[in-house]
Amino acid sequence: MSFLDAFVRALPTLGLFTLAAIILVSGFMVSQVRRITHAAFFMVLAFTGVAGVFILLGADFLGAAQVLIYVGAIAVMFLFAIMVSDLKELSDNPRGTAAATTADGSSGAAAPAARPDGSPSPRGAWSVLSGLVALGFAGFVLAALAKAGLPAVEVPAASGLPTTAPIGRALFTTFLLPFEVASIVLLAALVGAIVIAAREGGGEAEAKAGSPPTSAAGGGKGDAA
Amino acid sequence: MDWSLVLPELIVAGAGIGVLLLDLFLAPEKRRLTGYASLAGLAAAMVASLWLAVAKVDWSLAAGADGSPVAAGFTALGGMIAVDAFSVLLKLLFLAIGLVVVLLGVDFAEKRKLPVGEFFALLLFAVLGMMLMAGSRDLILIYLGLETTAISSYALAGLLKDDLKSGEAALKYFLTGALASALILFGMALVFGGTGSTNVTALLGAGVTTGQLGGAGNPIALTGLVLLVAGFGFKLAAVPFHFWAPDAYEGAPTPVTAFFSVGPKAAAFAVVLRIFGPVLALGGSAGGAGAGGLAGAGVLGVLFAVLAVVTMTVGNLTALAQKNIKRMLAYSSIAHAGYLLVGLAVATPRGFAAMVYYLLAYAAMNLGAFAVVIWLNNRGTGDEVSDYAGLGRRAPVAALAMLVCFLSLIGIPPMAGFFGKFYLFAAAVEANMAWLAVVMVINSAISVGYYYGVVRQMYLAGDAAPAEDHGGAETGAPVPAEATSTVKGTPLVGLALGLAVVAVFALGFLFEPLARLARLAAGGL
Amino acid sequence: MGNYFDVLLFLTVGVGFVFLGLWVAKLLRPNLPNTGKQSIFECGERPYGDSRLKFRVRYYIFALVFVIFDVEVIFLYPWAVVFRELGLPGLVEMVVFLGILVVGLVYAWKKKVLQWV
Repeated sequence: MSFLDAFVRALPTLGLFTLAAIILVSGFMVSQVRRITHAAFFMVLAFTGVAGVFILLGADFLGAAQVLIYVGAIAVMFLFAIMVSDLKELSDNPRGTAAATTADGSSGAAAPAARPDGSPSPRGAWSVLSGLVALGFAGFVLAALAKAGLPAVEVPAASGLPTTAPIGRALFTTFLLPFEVASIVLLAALVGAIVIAAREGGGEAEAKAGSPPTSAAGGGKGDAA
Repeated sequence: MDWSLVLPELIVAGAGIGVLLLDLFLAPEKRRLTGYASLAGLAAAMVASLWLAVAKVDWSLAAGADGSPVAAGFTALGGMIAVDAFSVLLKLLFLAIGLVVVLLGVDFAEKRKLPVGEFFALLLFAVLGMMLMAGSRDLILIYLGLETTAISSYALAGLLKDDLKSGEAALKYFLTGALASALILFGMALVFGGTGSTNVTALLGAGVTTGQLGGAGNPIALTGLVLLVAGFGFKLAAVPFHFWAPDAYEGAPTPVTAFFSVGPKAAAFAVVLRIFGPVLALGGSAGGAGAGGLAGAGVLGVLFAVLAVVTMTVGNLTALAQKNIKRMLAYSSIAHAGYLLVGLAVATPRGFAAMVYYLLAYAAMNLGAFAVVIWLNNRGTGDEVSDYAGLGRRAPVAALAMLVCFLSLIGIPPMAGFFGKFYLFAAAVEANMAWLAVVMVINSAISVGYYYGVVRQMYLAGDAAPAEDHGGAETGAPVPAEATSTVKGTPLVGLALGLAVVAVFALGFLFEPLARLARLAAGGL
Repeated sequence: MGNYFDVLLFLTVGVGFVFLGLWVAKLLRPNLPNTGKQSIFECGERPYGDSRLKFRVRYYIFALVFVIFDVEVIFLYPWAVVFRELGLPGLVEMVVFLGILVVGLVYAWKKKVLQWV
């Protein structure tokens, strides 16, 4: 019984480290995995892990929002973006992968690592360098945290779960102006994306410009969906 | 809640939404009405800002950090909005920038078949975001303002849909902008973690100024501030965060380029002043150096000094090699960001005041230069420097206006640019940073090289080859002859050019009162 | 935290059940592959071409509009919870917020990006 007690008490810490591992590993996989669709799914996993961290920290509303927006909507948008773009070269480039694994096995071969002329790309070196910079910075922040710690800040969530009502109160009193500005941000994003993505008279010409057999199948598939 | 304190913002937001809806229900040939509606909205917001300045801002003088009088100001709407001289002054600047860019854009949008309603609506939203950035001391509202401006700007850069370079500009601007936003957000999170408040004034009492990186004091907030320097470095296009700027500036529609070179940049400077100004000033007056090396504010001061030197030097040297006028002006605007950073490195109220004045002067002269580029582009001249050959004979007025703006950008009296540089120079010398002032002068001398290159083309070279020879390759591809003939030009660009040139002189002649106003504004940060 | 421990239990059992079922099925089922069985199921059609192809950009805009309104819905939750406390001002504030987004919807509608064909 006491073991179970200790286990339950250790669960948050255990959970935090598990989630951190999930987030870090899937984040790393997003950058390293060969197929872009797989990268998108690893990103979903990372998003889910972040939602778990939010819940562990007592920010349950944020956790739910993270699932609804990032896992639900943003991930779907990523998959749609992959669908509407021509990614054959990026996702299945056997030559690129072969060259990458022979030239630089350690870096795990990010997408097309070979240039058309066959010379090895400097991408492996760059990813090692940027990895070192990221690790250095993380170490720096951790050292700073360990040395100074965070100031004791009154967190509204301490008053108990769920946090939805306190967030609602804050949103419509202190943070009312930012809240209304958020709608302008969303409007600007909507208008901006539509004006960039949609051509005058719809995207028909574009869809038909692909190679005949695949575009026929694409139309069929798309309309059936 | 006293919503009249954000009346200018409300007007601009309303105008943006109104323009968007108006465009949907207008016949295509009547769409330039959206431009006039935008002008009306911006003018109304300017009136509202002036009303705010007269009726609401607390001008009672308080003692500033160094004992000199500053305008008091106050915060409202849940502590989100700072109603003070600084915000009113910068809001007026942003509205004026928006006004001039709309004037520049009306004909251009019609000739180059831009989606007119979206163009003006997004521009108004971007101006709104800039106003919020300058008018807030709260990181949350600052970030939302930043995103409003940034998201609108990404779309604005890509409005020339048939032009691959415009798409490239939008993508590059978006990717670097998203990275910058991430850095800023991370920095803000660390600042919040370190100080326990989203209000930037909390930085003053949190051991940030005396702490050391990775040491005593408040290293978390300090790390956050360093990240904010990097993030805003992108927004300011400071070297080494500048690489996106030339491509984005070259590919974007020219009125949008004009806007980018002054608008979001000035807004980013306003935020940097709000966040870092008080911290740096406090650190500066406390002596800067702590017992075991540089204290927090000292580290930041050195960071800004290095950024300033590198930015102006790289900007000016690279500008020398440019053949395209938009790219040249892009590097020139990078160099000017370097001059502006001197004010932060100096870290005295006088240095900040000099930055505020320089922002006004820089907006006027740079918009003037772009107005000439657009005026010529609307008449079929390309954007290569070689296209400007013989301009002094073909279009003497435009060439003269360009000359005036360039002289001001170089810093020749009696133009505004001279006073701006002089003010920064004086602030640097006063703060025992004469070496920085010397670097500034050397850089101004370098900048003569590329400005003179254009002037020599305009006045000393023979006539340019016919415009057709420069077809298609560059973004500023000359407008096809039939497009030029069907669209009747309006004097709007000329009006904008006139306003800018008058401002270049007026800001110079009004240096005394404006400098005093800037001093009041910067003291109350 | 108590409630979320239950959630964790449900999650573990749910995920475990799926993999357990698949594993047990793999143990029990006979394994006789042939080409017809291994081909991609396309409602009886014989598949041809590549599965990775370019869809119309229109779908992307649907996804985008969906994201915008998903974010909007998230804001509705905390608002609804404290709606009675906020009273009329709260209603007005939310109507302004929604109104601005409806402008976006009207824009998308008039630009015909919501049309299926």
